[in-house]
Amino acid sequence: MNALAPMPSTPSLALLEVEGLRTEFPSAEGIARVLDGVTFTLARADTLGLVGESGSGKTMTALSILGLVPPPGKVTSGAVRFEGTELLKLGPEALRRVRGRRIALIFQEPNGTFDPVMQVGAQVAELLREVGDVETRAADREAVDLLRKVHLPDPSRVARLYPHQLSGGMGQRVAVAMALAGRPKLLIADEAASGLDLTIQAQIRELLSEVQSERRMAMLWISHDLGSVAQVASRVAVMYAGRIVETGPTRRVFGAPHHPYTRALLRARPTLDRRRRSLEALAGAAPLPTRLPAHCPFYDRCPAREERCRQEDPIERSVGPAHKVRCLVDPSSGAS
Amino acid sequence: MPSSLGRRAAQVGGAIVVLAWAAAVCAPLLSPYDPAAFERMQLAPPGRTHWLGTDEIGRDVLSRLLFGARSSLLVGWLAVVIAISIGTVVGLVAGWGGGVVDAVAMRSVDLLLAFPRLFLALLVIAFWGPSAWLVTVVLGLTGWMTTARLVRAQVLALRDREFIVAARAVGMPVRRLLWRHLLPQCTGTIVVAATLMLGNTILAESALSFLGLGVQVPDASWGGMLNEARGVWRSAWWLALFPGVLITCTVIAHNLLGDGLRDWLDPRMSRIESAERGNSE
Amino acid sequence: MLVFLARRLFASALLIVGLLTLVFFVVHAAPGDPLQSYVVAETDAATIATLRRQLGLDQPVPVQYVRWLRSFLFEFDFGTSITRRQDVRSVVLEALPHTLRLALAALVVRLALGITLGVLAALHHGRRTDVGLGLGALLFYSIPSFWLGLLLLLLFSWQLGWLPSGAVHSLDADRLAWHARWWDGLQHLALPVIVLGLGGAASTFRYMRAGMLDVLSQDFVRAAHARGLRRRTVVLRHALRNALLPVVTQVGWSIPALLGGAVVVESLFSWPGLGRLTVEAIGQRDVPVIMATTFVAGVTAVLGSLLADVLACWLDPRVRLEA
Repeated sequence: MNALAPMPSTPSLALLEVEGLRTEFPSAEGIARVLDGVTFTLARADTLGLVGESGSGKTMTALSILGLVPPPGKVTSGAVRFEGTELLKLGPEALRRVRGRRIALIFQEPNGTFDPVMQVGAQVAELLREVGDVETRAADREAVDLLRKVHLPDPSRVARLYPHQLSGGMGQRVAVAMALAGRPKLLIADEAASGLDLTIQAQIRELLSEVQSERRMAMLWISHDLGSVAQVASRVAVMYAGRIVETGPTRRVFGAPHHPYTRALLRARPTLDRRRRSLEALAGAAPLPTRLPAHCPFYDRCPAREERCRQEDPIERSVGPAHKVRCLVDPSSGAS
Repeated sequence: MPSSLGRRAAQVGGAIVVLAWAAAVCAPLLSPYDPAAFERMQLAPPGRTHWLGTDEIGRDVLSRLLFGARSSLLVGWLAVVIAISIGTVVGLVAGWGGGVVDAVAMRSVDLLLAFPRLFLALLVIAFWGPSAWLVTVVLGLTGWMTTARLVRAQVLALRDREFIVAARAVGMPVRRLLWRHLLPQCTGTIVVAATLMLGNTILAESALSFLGLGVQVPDASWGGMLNEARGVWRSAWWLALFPGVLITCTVIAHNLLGDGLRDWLDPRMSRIESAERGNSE
Repeated sequence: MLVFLARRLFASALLIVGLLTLVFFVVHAAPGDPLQSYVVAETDAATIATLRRQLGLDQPVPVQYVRWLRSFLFEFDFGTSITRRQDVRSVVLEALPHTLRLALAALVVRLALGITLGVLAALHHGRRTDVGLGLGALLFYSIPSFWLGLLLLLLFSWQLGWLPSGAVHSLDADRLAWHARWWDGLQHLALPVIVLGLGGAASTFRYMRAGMLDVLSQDFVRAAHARGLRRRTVVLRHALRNALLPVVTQVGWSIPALLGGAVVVESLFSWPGLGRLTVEAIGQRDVPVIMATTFVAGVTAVLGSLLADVLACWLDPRVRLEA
């Protein structure tokens, strides 16, 4: 067993470095620590998948990076460095200039994210003017071009439609167009393909990869769907109870998972394998963010737990090239 | 309003309402003078014998204010009781009956809502003669519409719920169904609608009395007192001040109570809906 | 959109007929003989009988109803005023523009104050500005308009002498140059408009604040921030436009109350409008005038609400495109 010290990050390659990000919400039952020390890096033009169950903090991670945590929540500690700039220390106006122009965000229900009383083309044009620094007169024409680029048929007609007239797939394409208006270097897609038809999901994923490679954009792909992550992301980070418990190249993490939670996630997927008769769900639930234990938060549900897991909180350790885990137990020695 | 502030406001409002009713009920005991009796001291400013002064005929202002509380509160509350009774019945019948009955009811609601309430009251008063009772009835007859809509909406929402469907399946008679099962579900909404209506109704009564068409002399009413003071208020500021202050405070108290009750009983009501319900002006 | 318009017009027409029926019903259901107000006590029976026949009061009620409906709706014949001895139509038409001017000006005041302050309160939700404005709104929502008018009169007209105490124009207005006359008119309009507008402003304020808070919490607003739009753009261009839609509808539905409020204000400020006319007519027992003014007030309210409804529908593309 090898407990190597964590590898230092190489600043020149990393586009986004998140370290020890902690976000808390005051609530009636105490302080809810929704993010409990999230750490990961993302390289230029690379795709990192972020997986976890609902409530694990995936969306909050995206919001915290962009300074969009809804009050009364706050980012309480940690660092977020984007192209060298420390985002958490930026003032509100500087932070606003990062959104859309350097980092863009797309959401799960696209049509609900558009102004219902304005034509979508006008909304894209508005973004082009405000965030893309396009000249006013050219904006409308460029908006139609952008809609064409996301493969919307008859883009000048679509531009005159209102959000309620768009189908889910069309809406998501419009959302992608809006995200590209500012020519960002990083696109965060939060459950961007969930809730759509399977064929549309595949189309959106393809669109995003095409756009990504064309613009050399990095992508943070947030999803609870492991299959989509496997298709899209070259590296993956697994989240549980507000922290990253395993991170590494997708093939390695999904092929030979180290963390018991990752294993459980992979086992819980329905398969057509006749050898398995029942769905294997993981018993219990994640600890409440208001009652995080001082030891490993997965202890109660962990099939591989040991006595020492109840006494200390694991720190990140390396288990392979670029493969890190936050666990005290070595899967090769214990039962799993 | 943040809910803790809202709760406090409702308590304050409720306390003042209770106080006002206490003063109204105990008016004969509390009044230092007979409100209709006139003395030789006319237009006396507030002083030792008459704490709040006298009016131009020499009647004691304080006593008239106390009895005026009776008029305003009685007319206001009674009118609201009439309004919610009619509204509840219409709402239940329309929501349950559906079809023609519902259509007729809702068209009547539309018709009465389209008519300015005060003009309708004036019309009735013109032909039936002004009196406090008439005002009460008219305000009741022109105030039931919002309650009817609310109750109808509740009934429509509850019709297909399991406990209702089950009751119908066992053959429960309609009247009992409406009375014992649907109505209790609507109580929250009705109470909220009623308390939000009280403030406006009291204002309407005082406006009619101010025009001389409500509570008639020699009975005291706050609006009427302001009207009587019209000729002399330049010199007798106390005649113009006190009745108005009392009307305002009473209405504020009722509005606070209504808002507080709404936050407490029906918190699911969206903010827009509740602003709408308080808004029969 | 056209279908919607046609439907609303038809509904409004039905409402107007309904109003007439209501007025007729109230008048004829009242106790006492409608003829009483037309005659002096000493008139002999023969004259009374002739009069009854002339006025058509000897016919059965349904016939009277139809005749009256026809004369009101198609000939715009509202009868003759008992006290003024001129036809009611001209009396009403003289008074109506004054009420309209008052009501429209009050509407402007109400919208300007209610909308701006409501947005302000929503943007400062929970803080002192919001609480302060809320308390102010509560006050103006609860204060009787005639008392507010009284206090303002005491202050501005009698104490300070800045504004006149009533009427539409000064007595010598005709002799003034056009701009002086315009200014004179404005001075006379000021107090009544403020009184009528403030109460309504309070309720529009509540509505606007509520609507704005609802819109600000919706997904598309947070998404607009996330996309990097400036706060001002998000609030003023996107949030406000969405929040204004229900306010327009609400204002439309409160036009009847606005006209009702005008009654009291007109009486207080001696404003020669429909409201004051009605109150005077009640005192003089002038039946035709009373019927006509209440009817006209009702029609104005119906048309006003219709206009507001159409406007609201046109502004919302979701409704406009479906309807």
